Amino acid sequence: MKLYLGIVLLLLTAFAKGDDEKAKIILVKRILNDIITERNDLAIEYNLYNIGDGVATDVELADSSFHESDFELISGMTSVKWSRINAGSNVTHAIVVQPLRAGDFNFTSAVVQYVSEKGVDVTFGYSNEIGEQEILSLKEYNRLHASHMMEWGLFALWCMPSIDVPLLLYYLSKRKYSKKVKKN
Amino acid sequence: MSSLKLFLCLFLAYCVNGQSCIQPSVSPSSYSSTNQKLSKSTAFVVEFSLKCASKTDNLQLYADIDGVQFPVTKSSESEHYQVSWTVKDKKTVAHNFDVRFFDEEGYNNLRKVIRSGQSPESIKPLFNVDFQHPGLSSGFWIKAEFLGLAVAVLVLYVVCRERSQIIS
Repeated sequence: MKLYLGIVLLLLTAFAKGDDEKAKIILVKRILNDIITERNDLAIEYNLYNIGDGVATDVELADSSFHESDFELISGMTSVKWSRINAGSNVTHAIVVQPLRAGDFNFTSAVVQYVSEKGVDVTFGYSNEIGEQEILSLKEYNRLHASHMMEWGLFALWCMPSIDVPLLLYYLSKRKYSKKVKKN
Repeated sequence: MSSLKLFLCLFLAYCVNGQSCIQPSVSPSSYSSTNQKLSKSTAFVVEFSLKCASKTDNLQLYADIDGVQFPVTKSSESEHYQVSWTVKDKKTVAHNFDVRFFDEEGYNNLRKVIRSGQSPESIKPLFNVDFQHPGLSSGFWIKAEFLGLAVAVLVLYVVCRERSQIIS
């Protein structure tokens, strides 16, 4: 009798545990760039962590904050799906865009939808909001970070008359003087 | 004859299941970050559109890049796939990546081989994509200011030498 009861209790716990195996996805959105400039690549990374006990199926990530009027999509897809993300595992996704205009831009959340358990409706989740970030103009970026080889080259060119002319006069007179010394 | 029919039926059933891709045809494109001034991290993206002779409704692909496996994502709208990974806060050097793609079966075989300590190269991928990463660089190796300083020091040295010769 006791054995029979024990087996029944064990089976009940097994089924109860099975019911609690739900997936839970955390979506983290990150800007990989240190500097965001117009007409230069901007890489965004999305990390999806399944912190639940169950497998997440039909996982879809969508980020519609990069409109065609503000950004040009260089590489990657903004709307993707994974068939499953196992419990305790994570996946990464990256896209590369180019801002078309300088100024402040509000980077909003991306959305993830997934099925946390069999037979349950789709669950929606939102990523963190990155918030307002400054997009530097190309002129400003070049002023701070370009190599300035052209500017230094022009500077050397403008310096040349004031250095080369006296140097030339000196060498001419030196040559004349040393010739006279040799003659004497 | 009946065994041949059975084999054909099983083969068709396998194809219809969509778990594998027969005769894959791939059009890849790739991207990697190259400007270190914009970002100290490197993002790598490999995208491709895939056409198979069989149905690919449930096709799940996995990529193996330098011994690390990643699941491949699929576009919600088209037959476009993407695998991406990032290397953070490390200056990545020029490297030729051989990205190998496996279906579910190939991936399971690959994991078994890795767990048993054998070479993962023994598992043949469904297809592979080569791409060259030029390396993360911050422009020309010598800075313009340093070059200007070097030229100015040289001119100063020549002038001082001539002056000391005249004085002596």
